[in-house]
Amino acid sequence: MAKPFTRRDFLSGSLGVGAAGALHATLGPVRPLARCGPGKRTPTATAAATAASSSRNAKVGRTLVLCTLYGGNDGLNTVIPYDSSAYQALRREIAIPHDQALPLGKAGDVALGFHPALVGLTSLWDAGQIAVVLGVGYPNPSFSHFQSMEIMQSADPTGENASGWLGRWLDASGSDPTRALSVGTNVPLVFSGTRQKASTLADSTTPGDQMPGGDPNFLRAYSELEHVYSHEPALEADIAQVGCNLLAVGAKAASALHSQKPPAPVSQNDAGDVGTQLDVVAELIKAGLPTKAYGVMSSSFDTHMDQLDTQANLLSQLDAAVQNFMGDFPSGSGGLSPIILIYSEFGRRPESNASGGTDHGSASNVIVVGPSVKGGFYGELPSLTKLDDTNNFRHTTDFRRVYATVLADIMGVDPKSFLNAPYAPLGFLD
Amino acid sequence: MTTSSTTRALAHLYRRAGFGATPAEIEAAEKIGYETSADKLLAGLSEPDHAGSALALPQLTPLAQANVPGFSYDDYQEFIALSTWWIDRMIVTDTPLREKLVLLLHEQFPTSYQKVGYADLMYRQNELFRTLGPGSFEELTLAVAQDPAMLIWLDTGTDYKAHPNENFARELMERFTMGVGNYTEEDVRQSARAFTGWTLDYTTGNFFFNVYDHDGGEKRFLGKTGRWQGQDIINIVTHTTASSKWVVARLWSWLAYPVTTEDPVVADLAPGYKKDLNVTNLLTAILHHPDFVSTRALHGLVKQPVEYLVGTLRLLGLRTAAFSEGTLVYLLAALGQQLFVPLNVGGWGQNQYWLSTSASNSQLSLAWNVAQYADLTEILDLNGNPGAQVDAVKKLLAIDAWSDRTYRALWKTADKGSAQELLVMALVSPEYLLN
Repeated sequence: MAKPFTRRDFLSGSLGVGAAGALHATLGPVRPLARCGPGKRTPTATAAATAASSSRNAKVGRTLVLCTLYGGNDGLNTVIPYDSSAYQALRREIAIPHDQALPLGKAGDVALGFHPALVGLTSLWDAGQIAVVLGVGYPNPSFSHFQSMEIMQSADPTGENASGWLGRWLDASGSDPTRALSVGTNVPLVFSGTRQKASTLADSTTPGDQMPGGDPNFLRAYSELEHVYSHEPALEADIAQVGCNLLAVGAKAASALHSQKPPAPVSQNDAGDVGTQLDVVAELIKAGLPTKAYGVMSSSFDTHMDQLDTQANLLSQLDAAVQNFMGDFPSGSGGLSPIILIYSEFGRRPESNASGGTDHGSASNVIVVGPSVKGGFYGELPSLTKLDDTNNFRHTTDFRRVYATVLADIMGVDPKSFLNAPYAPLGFLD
Repeated sequence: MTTSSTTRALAHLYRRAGFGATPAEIEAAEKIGYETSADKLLAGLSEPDHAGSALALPQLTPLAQANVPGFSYDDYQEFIALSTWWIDRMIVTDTPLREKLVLLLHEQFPTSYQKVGYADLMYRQNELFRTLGPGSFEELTLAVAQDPAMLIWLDTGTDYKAHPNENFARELMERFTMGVGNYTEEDVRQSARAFTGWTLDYTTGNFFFNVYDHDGGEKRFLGKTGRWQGQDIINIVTHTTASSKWVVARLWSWLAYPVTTEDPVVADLAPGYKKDLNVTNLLTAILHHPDFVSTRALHGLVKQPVEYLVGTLRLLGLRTAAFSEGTLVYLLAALGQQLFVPLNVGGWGQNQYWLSTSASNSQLSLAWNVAQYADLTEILDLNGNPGAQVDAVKKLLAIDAWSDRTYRALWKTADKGSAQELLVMALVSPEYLLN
C-alpha cells in the first residue's frame, strides 16, 4: 500500500520536468561570493581555518555523521536477542527467527544478532568497526515522537532546553557556517543553538543544486540583499543570515562535489534517500571541508502495523548506504576518519500489537560505525522480563554518555559545558 | 488608524486570512475599512466558492474500483493532478479564508499520500476540511477520525480487540486535540480500546464499524468511566480545557504569530471557543482581536512555502497551467512543504523551521521559475529609471516599504540587470518572505 515514491523521485528528475539542476544550466556560470553586503564582517578562508581549529583538542581527521532515524526504529528487531524465549514470546509472529539473525556474539550471557537486512553492518562489525551501545535512554520516557525526539536532540530529559546539544557546541565554537552541515531542507533541533545553527545542503550530488545560479552582477546584488544590519526585526535578520550563509556554504559544497566522486557501490542493494545523503557527505569529507559534524536522516520507522516488510526495507537501505560510505574510508585512509552515529527517538514496545506491528517504546540501542571505533558491545542489555510499569524497557545507559563520548573524542571539547553536568564517556572511540 | 496603517493592516489581513491581495483588491478594501473587510472574509466561510467550484476536478479512481483485481491506473499521475488542482483552487477561490482554513486543517490533521496511497482518498479528506472545517471542531474531528485516508494513515483500520494498536488514539490527543502533557499513558491505552472495530471497508471505500472487533467493556478515560466508544472519546477530549487552549493556540500561531498554550492571548480566546467549539466563531474572534494587527503580528510569521507560491501566483496573475506538469509540486517539495505529503503526523513547523541555506537556494529556484512567466511590461516601460522600477515592483508585490538594504540591492539589480532579475530579487527579499 505504501508508495515507493520519495523526495528522491523529484530530485532525480523522474517527474520529467525541469529540476533545479536543469534550471541552473540555463543560468550560466556560477560565481562564488563569500561577502554579504558592504563592510560586513563575514567569514573568510582564514576565519574558517581558525574556527575549525578553535577547539585545540579536536581530533584531527575525525568527523561526526549523525544519522537520525525518525519514527522510532524498533531496536529489539535491529539488535536481536534471537535465542531468548522471552523475545520469541513477546514478538510472536514478528519475531525474527533465530536462524535468520546475523550473530554478533554475546553481551553478558545473551546472544545478540543484527537484523537479517544488516549484512553490510555485520561485515563492518566483524572488522571491528562497529560499537553497539545497549539500553540507551533517559528517565521517565516520553512516548510522543516529537517530545522524545526533542529530548534526544536537546540532551535534556526535562524538555526545557530549547537548543540542541550540537547547537550549543555551534554557539561556542565561532561563526563559520560550514562547521556543521545537515542534508535536507530543515535544520533539526540537534543542530540549532540559541544564536547559531547548522547550514543545510540539498540532497543531491549535482554541484549546481547546492548554490544559486545567475550572473555575477545578480549574485553581487543578492549578497547585498542578504546583508544583516543592526536593529532590524529578528525574522528579517534571520532570513538575511541564511541567504548570506548560502553563498558561502553553497560555493564550498558545489566545488567539493565538482572535485570528488560519490563512493562506489559496495552493496548490491538500493541505498535509498539516505544513500544519496551519505554520498554528498562522503564527497565533502574527501574534499577536506572543515566541517566537524554532518547530519543525515531516514524516516518512516513508525511501524505500528506490518512491521516486518517496512523495517526490513528501511534497514536494508540504511545498511547499503553505510556500507557504501565506509568503503571510501578504509582504516587510516588519508587520515580521514568519519564516525556515523545512528539513533532514533525511541525504541518500540517489547510486546507486539495485533496489527503485526509495535507501539511506541523507550530505551533502545545506538550504533556507531567507523574506522576509529573500538568495536563491541557497550552498556548493558535491558531485561526482557523485568519491564517497567508501562511494559517498556528500563534504560541502562544514560543517552548523554553517548554524546559525552562524541564531544570529548570527536569535537575535543569538555562535554560538561554542553550537557549541563558531567557524564562518563563510554570509550567506544580510540 | 492612519491611512497608511489601514492599508498595511488590510494587506496583512488578506495575507493571513487568505493568500494575499492584489493592489486593486486592497484599494477596494480601503473603501470599506478593516472590520468590514474582515467580516467579508469570514462570511466566505459559509458562502459558495463559485470560482473554486468551477475548476475541473482531475479524474480520480475511487478506492472500490482501484481494488478490483486486475484493474490498473496511474495513481501517481492522479496525485500530481490533484496537488495541482488544489494549488489552482487556492489561487482562484472566491472564499480565501475557507481555502486557508483547508490548508491549516491539513496541517492540524497531517495525513500523507505516501502511506495512504490513493489520491481519491486525499481528495475526500480535503473536501471534508472544506465542508466541515468552519463548523464544530468536535464534528470535524469525528469525521476526520472516520475518514478513509486517516484510517489508513494512523492504522485505525487494523485495530482489534486483543492488543489494540495505539497509533490513532495517541496522536488524536497529542497532535489533533490536546497536546502532550494532558493525558496519561493509561488514557492512551484505554482510548485505543474504544477505537477497536473502527475499520475501512475496501469494497465500498467507506468507514465501517465492526462490532465483533470492538472492545465494548468499561474504560476509564480522563477521569470518566463508561463503556466508551470512539465517538465518546472524541466528545470527551474536544470538550477539555486543554483542547480549547490547543486549538486556539494552533490557529493563532498560524494566523498571527507563534504562541504556546500558556500565552495570554490564548487565555483571552479559549473560554469563548470552549462554549461552542465553533471554528467560524473562533476565526471571527481572532481576526477582530487587537493583537492580530499588532507590530508583533505584522512581523510575526515567515510565509510557508505554499502561502508563498500561491500568493505569488495570485499577485502575478498566473495559474498553474503556465507551468509544465508537476513543476510546482517539485518546487514545493524542494522547499519542504509538499501538499498531501507531510513528513509525519507532526506536520510542518513555523518560522525558523523554514529558514535554512538549502531552503534559500530552493526559494531562488522557485522565484526564477515563476518570474519567467510574469508580465513585466510595467517594469520594462520604466527602463532607464531604476528607482521607478524598484517602486513598480514594490507595488506589483503589494509590499508596504523596502528597507534601505533591500532598496539598494534592488536598485543595483534594476540598473545592471533585467526586469526578470529585478522581480526575482524582490521575490527573495526578507520583506517579501515575511507573511
